[in-house]
Amino acid sequence: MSPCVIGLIGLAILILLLFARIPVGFAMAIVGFAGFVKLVNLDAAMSLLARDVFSTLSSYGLTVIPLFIFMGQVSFHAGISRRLYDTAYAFIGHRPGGLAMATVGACTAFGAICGSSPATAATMATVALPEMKRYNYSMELATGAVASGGSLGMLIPPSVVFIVYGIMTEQSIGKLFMAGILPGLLIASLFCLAITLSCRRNPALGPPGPKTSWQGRIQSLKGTGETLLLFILVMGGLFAGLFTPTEAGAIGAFCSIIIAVIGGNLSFAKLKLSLF
Amino acid sequence: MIKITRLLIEIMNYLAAASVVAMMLLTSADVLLRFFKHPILGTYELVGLFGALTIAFALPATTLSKGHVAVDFMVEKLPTAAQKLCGVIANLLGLALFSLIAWQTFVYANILRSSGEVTLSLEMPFYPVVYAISVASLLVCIVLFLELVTVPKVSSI
Repeated sequence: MSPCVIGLIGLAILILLLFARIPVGFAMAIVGFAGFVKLVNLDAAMSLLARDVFSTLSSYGLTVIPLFIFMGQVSFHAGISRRLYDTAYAFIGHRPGGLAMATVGACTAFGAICGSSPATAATMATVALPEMKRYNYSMELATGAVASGGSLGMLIPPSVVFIVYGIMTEQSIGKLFMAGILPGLLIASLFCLAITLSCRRNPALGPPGPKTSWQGRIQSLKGTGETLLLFILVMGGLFAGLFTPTEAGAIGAFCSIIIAVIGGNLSFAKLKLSLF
Repeated sequence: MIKITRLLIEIMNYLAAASVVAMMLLTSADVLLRFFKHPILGTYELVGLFGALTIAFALPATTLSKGHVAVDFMVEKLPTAAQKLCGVIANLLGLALFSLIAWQTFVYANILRSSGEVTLSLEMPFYPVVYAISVASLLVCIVLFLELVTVPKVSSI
């Protein structure tokens, strides 16, 4: 068999294993290992297994992933996501479908301090879903807003996906980050447009919430200060060349802890929750 | 057996968390001190090694809580018996993979120790970290094995 045929068979087996709910990492390792055994020999594959596991786990570039996730967790446990949602809610909650749009808005803002889509979606689900349930939103619209809004976490920098892509293809992670901002904002506004249009066609989907006075709105803006500061510290430092994208994860996590502690939003118990 | 496993997983989980904190503090200190022209020597390699410890020590707990990323939507459409079968296959494959990893990283660590291979700037030996990966993989195997033989009990620990 030619290596090409073996590769194609390997791909087919990989897809089969993935669909059988074999964890993605396990499936890829198993198929890769088996393919290497077939192409070279068992001894080489075994020794490669140990070396590959160690070199991947100790890869400096990949250490940024747990750190950015840690930063998102700290921000969530410090209540940043809730405050972002409250601000967006104060501004657009009274419109038809406003709570869903507020969810998208808060996801966009939270994406600026959280690098992963599932984390953004999970965070916003705990904050926004109960609220939308309270105002009798259609669950289709509510969960749709959370799930699609969560995907903005990946587009808006920092983004774990961009980092992995940048490392694999040797592209500038800083440029990738920069490139994610406009499409992210564009998609967020398109989401809001879609929500408005669906709610206009069927008002029962997202009944308007209570209106907030301008005074309340201005006051709610205070809640976005910490996000803005964190974003400027991390992205600003990155673009100013003070630290590398890989170091940005550690700096971001550290700054998020400092900001949360100064704001009185982070106890030791909450910090522990963010770690586990 | 289950109690000891749970305790070990807990300990490893704490070590993983400590490694994350260590990476964060070390890198932040390095960046800060760089302003004053005193970067910390060997941050690059230390953070890499802490990263390896983070992932390795978090593996058993992730396995126990079924936190590995997997594709759900096809299996969900199958009948319960077929779903269980898929679970058992996943478990067996994982068991095979991690026993190989545990064994081979142990062999690799022995090689690294006898050849005395060290990191570039701090000249720290690599082998303790590789042993740690081996032990963590072994614990993953134990979790997978216990899950295979005592399905309801382990998922409740």
